[in-house]
Amino acid sequence: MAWEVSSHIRGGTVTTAATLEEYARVARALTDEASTLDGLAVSWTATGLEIRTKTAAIPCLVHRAAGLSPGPGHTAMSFANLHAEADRCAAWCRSIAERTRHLSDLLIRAHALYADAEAESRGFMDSIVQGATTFLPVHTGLGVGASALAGAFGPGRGDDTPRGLAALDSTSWAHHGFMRGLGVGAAPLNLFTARHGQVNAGAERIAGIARRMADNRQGDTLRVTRVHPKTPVLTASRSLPQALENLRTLDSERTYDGAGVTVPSRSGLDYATIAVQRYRRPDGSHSWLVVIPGTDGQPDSPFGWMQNVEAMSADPVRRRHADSVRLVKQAMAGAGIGPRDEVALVGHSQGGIVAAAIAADEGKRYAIKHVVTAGAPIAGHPIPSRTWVTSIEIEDELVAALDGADNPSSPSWLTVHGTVRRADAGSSPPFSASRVRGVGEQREMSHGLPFHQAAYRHAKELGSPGVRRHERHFQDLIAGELEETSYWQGRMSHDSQGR
Amino acid sequence: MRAEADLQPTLIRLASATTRATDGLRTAGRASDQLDWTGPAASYFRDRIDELSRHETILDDRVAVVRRLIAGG
Repeated sequence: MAWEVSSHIRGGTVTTAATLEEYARVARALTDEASTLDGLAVSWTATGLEIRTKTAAIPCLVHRAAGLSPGPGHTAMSFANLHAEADRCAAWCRSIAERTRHLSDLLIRAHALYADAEAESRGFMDSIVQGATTFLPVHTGLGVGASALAGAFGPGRGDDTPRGLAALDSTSWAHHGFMRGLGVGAAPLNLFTARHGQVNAGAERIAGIARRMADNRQGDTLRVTRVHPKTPVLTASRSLPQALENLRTLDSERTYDGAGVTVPSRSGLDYATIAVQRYRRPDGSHSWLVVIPGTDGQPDSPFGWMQNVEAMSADPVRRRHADSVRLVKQAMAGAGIGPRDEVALVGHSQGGIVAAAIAADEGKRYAIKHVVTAGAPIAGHPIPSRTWVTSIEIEDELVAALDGADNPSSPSWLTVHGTVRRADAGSSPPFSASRVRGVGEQREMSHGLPFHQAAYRHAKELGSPGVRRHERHFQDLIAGELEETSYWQGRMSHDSQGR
Repeated sequence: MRAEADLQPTLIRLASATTRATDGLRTAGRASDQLDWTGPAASYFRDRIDELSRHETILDDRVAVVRRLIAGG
């Protein structure tokens, strides 16, 4: 069984209200005509039935059925032809209605015509769940738990969907609100709440504990080493999908331990390795692409679980000192990125959080022009509007919802929301979704990069002006010849000498 | 014939409503030509609008046959 992702787009466009209204008017006209034709199909079918009924009941038609001609001076209504024509009209009305509705849906999705209304309605639900979590945490927890159990054990779960994933899927409506409620619980009167959102304020509250736990376990000394792969790993990123593919490739380059066997990667690269690509543009200037994989959870990795909390903190000082953020900044400095060189960062999960933190906090040191995140909760990071942000999130992945809020929607911040579904052969109309490549038949965690890649591919196929703008901005930024890709590995230790 | 008398107004109303619907669909199709939309989905959309227009013509032809059958009754 294959899987596919259907995308909705929010933000990223400078389309005027008048232009949007023009798209909406066409979409409404198509939807209205589809409804009218559906109604007409029903009426034609009913009329065809009525003609058949009356044909059987009228004696003269029995006469005609016997092949006799009407009397002199009379022509007879051809009932047999008439009901056949009524049936044909019904069938054509139905077929045209269905095709028209599909086109209307396509237009609506491609131009995100109702995205703001949907976000508003989601925001309302988030506020209700947040309020309930804050004031009635036990009851709300039980309610969300019941919803998770219903998803995991109820009849709606597919045979091959693991129960945990079904539980996540069935509670996706509560993820944002629940996280915000927990954030308020952790930091009810936090100084940063108004500006950065409740979850980031809550993260700041517990980041101190997370820091101490990480330091005790891993030490506080970060050693960043340039490593050289034995085989070529990343190619030039000419487009955003290629950059995502490079991100996926780098993420998979690590040693795997399983069943007592250790299998090193072919290139020799391992976990907690990031890549920095230098491009020479036609005008002679340099631009850079920094590729940052997500959490690996290894005992000596700066991309451990605890560092997520620090990088999510509302306090910029705390974010700057997160081990994962330090690794990326040291690699950027080691690669030679200058303060005027334009930089794009692409990151998955914690890699995306780190990218957002650097864009938010290192504006004076680096010219961060574009951040691309996949499955990263970054709605609360104060990224300046001069930095373009392209975020890709999957509906039920939970991790992207840990920020407890929708991403801001603006011309420079575009979010692609993907929804995973089973791809039943031949049942999906064209452009309604994109296949997920490189995953098995069984339902997997949609936090994996192949799901984000499929979501962006679908968004790109839809031809949304916002996606086109962001894609062009990204491509212009790293246009030119790839001169060098350097790889930087980080390791944590208790050794204060960094050895 | 009473049966014919009963059915004729219904069929005429249905035929007129169907013609109005196909006219409306053509207007919407023409309006969509003006949209600034490019890429594979936009090409697909425009191809399907053209295809719909051919289907509308077929439906109009069927409705014309119905009108002729009614007029002959």
